[in-house]
Amino acid sequence: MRKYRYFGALLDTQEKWLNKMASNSYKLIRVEKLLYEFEKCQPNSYVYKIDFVASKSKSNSEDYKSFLEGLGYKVFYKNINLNYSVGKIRVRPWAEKGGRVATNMGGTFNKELLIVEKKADGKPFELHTDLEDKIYYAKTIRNSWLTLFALCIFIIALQFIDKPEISLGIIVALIIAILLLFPISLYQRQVIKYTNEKRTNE
Amino acid sequence: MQFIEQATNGRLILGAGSLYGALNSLEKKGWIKITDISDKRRKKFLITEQGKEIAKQECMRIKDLSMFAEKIIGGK
Repeated sequence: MRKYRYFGALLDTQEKWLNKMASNSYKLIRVEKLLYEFEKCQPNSYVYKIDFVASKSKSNSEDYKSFLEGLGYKVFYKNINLNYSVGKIRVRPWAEKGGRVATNMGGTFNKELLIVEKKADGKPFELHTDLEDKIYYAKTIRNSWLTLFALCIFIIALQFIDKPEISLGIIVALIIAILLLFPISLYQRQVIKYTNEKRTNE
Repeated sequence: MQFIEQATNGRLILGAGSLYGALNSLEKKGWIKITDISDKRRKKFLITEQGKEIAKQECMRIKDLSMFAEKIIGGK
């Protein structure tokens, strides 16, 4: 069965959807930009987890992927953006150390996420269990969106200095910036929550 | 991961992502090193001399801690 969906940055929504498919006896066999292909299976026999790896370098994320496969999980790469690109150069705001410009096909471009599949064994499926690691993971995602946010503000500022009037471009960038505040605050709250938990544990 | 779960009676469950991060940072610190790189999926690590030394110190620290705790409980 084929389904077309686009979740973008909604990692949890995507994860829930895949798990719902699995509980309705469909397991994932292939992913593309918008396509998810499923196969019939026993209901609830697989669980899915999404991992954000965009900030890892290419070799690092490949290494991580084979590590997970070595542990017996099935792993798919998944894109965050849709990017039917123009030209060969694009910005990767979620690259390590505050973003970088990527040339075609390099790095983890369009492989920002991993979909990890585990055979259900009745135990909860978590990839990040250690508090310190949880904080680091939430920070990584937050910083990616923060970089994009800064980029939007920067573009607005440049535009405005150039021509001090409200243009369509400014409005679009402003809307994107405001939308970005949602994931930023979501992950910021996670960072705060885990940091507090860590403090009480000490 | 199964070993950790069993050895701690399920008190500590380690996720794959956290384990990966932990192994990487131990390697970076030079406390463990890779012995077999033939299979990328199943890396084998061995503890280094420095790693053993650190583990010993940590063990001492926990012993001290436990002795201290016993002192407090016993000396009521």
